[in-house]
Amino acid sequence: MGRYIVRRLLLMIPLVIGVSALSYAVIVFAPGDPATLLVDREQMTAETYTAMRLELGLDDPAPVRYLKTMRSLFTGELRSFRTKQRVVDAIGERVPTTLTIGVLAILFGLIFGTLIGVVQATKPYSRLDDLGTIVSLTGFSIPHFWFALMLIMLFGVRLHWLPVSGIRPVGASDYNPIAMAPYLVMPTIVLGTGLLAYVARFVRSSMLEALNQDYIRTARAKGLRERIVVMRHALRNSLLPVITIAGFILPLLIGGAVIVENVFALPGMGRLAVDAVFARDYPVILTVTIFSAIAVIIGNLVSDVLYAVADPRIRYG
Amino acid sequence: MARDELSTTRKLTRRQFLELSGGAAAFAALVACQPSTPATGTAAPSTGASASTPATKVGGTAIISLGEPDTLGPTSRALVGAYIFSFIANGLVRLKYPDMTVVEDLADSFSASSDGKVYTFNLHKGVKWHDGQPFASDDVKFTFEYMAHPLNPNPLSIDLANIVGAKEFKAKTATEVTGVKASADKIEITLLAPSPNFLTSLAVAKILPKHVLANVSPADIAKDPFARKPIYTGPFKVDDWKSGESVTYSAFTDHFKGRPNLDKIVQRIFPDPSTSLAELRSGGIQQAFVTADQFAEFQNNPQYQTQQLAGTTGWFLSWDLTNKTFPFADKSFRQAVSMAVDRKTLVATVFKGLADENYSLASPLSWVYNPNIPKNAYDPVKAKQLLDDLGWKPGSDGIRVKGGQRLEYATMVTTTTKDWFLAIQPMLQAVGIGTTKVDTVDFPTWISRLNVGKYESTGNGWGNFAIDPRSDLAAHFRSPRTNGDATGYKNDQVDALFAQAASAVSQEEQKKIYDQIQMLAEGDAVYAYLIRPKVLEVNVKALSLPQAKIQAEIYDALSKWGLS
Repeated sequence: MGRYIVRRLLLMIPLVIGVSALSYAVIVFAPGDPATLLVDREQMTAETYTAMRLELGLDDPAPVRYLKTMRSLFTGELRSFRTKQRVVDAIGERVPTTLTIGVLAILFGLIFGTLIGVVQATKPYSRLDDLGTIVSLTGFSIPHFWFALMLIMLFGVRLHWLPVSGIRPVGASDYNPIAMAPYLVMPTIVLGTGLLAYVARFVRSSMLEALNQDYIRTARAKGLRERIVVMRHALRNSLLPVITIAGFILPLLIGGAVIVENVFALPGMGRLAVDAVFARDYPVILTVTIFSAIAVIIGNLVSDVLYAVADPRIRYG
Repeated sequence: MARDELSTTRKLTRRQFLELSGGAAAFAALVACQPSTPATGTAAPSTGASASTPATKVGGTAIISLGEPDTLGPTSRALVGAYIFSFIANGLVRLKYPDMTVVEDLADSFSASSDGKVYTFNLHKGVKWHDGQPFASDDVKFTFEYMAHPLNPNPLSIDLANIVGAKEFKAKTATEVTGVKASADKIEITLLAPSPNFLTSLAVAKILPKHVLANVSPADIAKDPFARKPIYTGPFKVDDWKSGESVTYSAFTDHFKGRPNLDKIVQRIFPDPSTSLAELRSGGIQQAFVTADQFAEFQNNPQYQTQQLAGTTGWFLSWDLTNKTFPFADKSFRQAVSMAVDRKTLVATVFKGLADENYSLASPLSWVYNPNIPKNAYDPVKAKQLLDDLGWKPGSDGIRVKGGQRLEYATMVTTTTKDWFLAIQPMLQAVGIGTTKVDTVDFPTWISRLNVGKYESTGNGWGNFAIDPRSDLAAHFRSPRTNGDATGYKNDQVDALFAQAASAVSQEEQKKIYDQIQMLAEGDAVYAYLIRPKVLEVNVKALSLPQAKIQAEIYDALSKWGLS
């Protein structure tokens, strides 16, 4: 197992290099010239334009720029085109927000998804099951931005139950969980709903399978209460396949975070990425992409390892 | 009263919500049909009650929506930076909006010698920096040397290079900019040649604190903490900038023109305009700019105050004039397009009446604007006639044809310009011009294609009030173009007039020359001007803003904002 993990970690290196080269190529060959975007068009002059291209090093061939960018990324000196902030600092500022709503969304999705899945599996093909199916299919299909705007309109504008946007009260600079809680409710629901749908579907089908097993019949025959049969015997065993979800939770969350952070004006990584794309801020785009790629690779590894840990029948050699 | 309204709304909505909680469509319908109850914000404790003449008091916090600056140091290049500088920093002189003439700022008075080469500025006494240190004439000299510094990555601007000794200082052959002389309360600047634009560019240059920046290399200023928490002399100082979230400013009580009314301004940064709109409705922010679709809702709501400001951006259609396939180089073709556009309908439909018809590049509010320029107003009959005369005859489907070539070309638009371009398509179609080939690109792609002339025609726009109004004209009508707007327009007479204007010192002389430039260039119908959407300001009633004509004025007068 130890050797397996080490091998997977070592495999990450070529993978990350590949991802970085590929994404740099995509960014650089996309139309748009960063130098034209740093100065408002109205104030741009030929001299400023030339100076900007020189300052950003845009006149070098793309492979040279890629190598230079990667070198300064490793020394930590890579800076945003637009703000001149160190990219690692810019990301460091944004990670707490994305991490907070990400973790909350995962918890929300897992808890409520499992709950819905269990209820559905215990009463299959009933009205309740149908309702669960409707909820999870809606969760799959609902566009994040639309759902977010509807929640804002209802709970923020009409009812005034929750603040419309932001991560914390105006003026606060710390991460005080109590003060932040109302701000996190809507982003968590929006980001967690897609996940909830996945989890509910997984739990339902594996629960249905587990409830038909011999050991469940045995448990019932022993005279155990139905609640104990479902929660202790069936659910525990049927949660196994849910672990595989861990592998694609991260891409799902990163994609969702881009939308959620924009609609709720949260200062997270997804925002950073979107702003960087519209400013053709190559260093920031590249770093965020690499960062996300590493997160996804590790997420996959963790899911594989967890699977082996949870199910003794699985062995990696 | 507001509280009662709130609770009834709440009860009703919760019941309805439960009844309808099945489908998403019902959910949306619920959201759409409830009457809005704007809550009172933290800084506006009694919006409803204070209907009687609110007196502006000193103190309080206003939360506003404004874009994120790139940096707050002297290297800022974004328009939003200019808005912010107008309330945190000062120049020797400043621009008076909206006519864009130059008035005093840190200099109480200023004068030019009769040959236009020597400018004398008498500095205001008792000015303090945000950190409490006294401001002195040395700071002014320091600022010029900072801008012209050999290590400053920016090239010398034309006006900076015109100061005696600046080029030598940049080339390290001199240890100071000899043309800038600082004495006790006076600054004297000597130019190589008289320059009519000099004062305007001075207004853009904000004065920097020598005691803070003396040891910061101009090459590193963007990386220095100063870029995020600067020290200037303006009525507000920067407290805190949280990336992607907010910038907080507090009143600088020692400001030389007296303290501002408000204690604090919090600028929240919204990536999506629908969020700032929702915040404005819910009372989370007290001031924002909204789109024409949303404006009526606030106009009709007694809890808000609104202002319709003159459009900053004028929209127009432009063409690659070097294109040989289509008649873009023919003035009468361009006039025909302009005459085909029914601006009144465009304003009434797409812009809900909240826009002005546009017939010029210069803003009609600026001092250079010539009201006598030819206008190619809506006249479809004349438009058809002009196209007929050019030999483009209507084909079987109405689109004009000449020598087998259909008059059907591509138009490059962004998501912003697409909104109104789609409304213009049928108007052009009606005179036989096919414009169904619409190429929608993002702004970065648009601007880089525009710069290299990789387009046939495009929905174009230009923001006035960002620079000297004379430069607005030069950027479009002088060749070679300096801002990369590759239309290919060239008129030798116009170019000669621009050269002549560069040496005319008095404003009257300048005005005459720029009037002529506009008569010629606008007479050539380089662009088909369309509309200027109004800039629509909304604030809660408790917050009072001075009456303004343009957006820049709103921020320029931030120290006069107050809460009642």
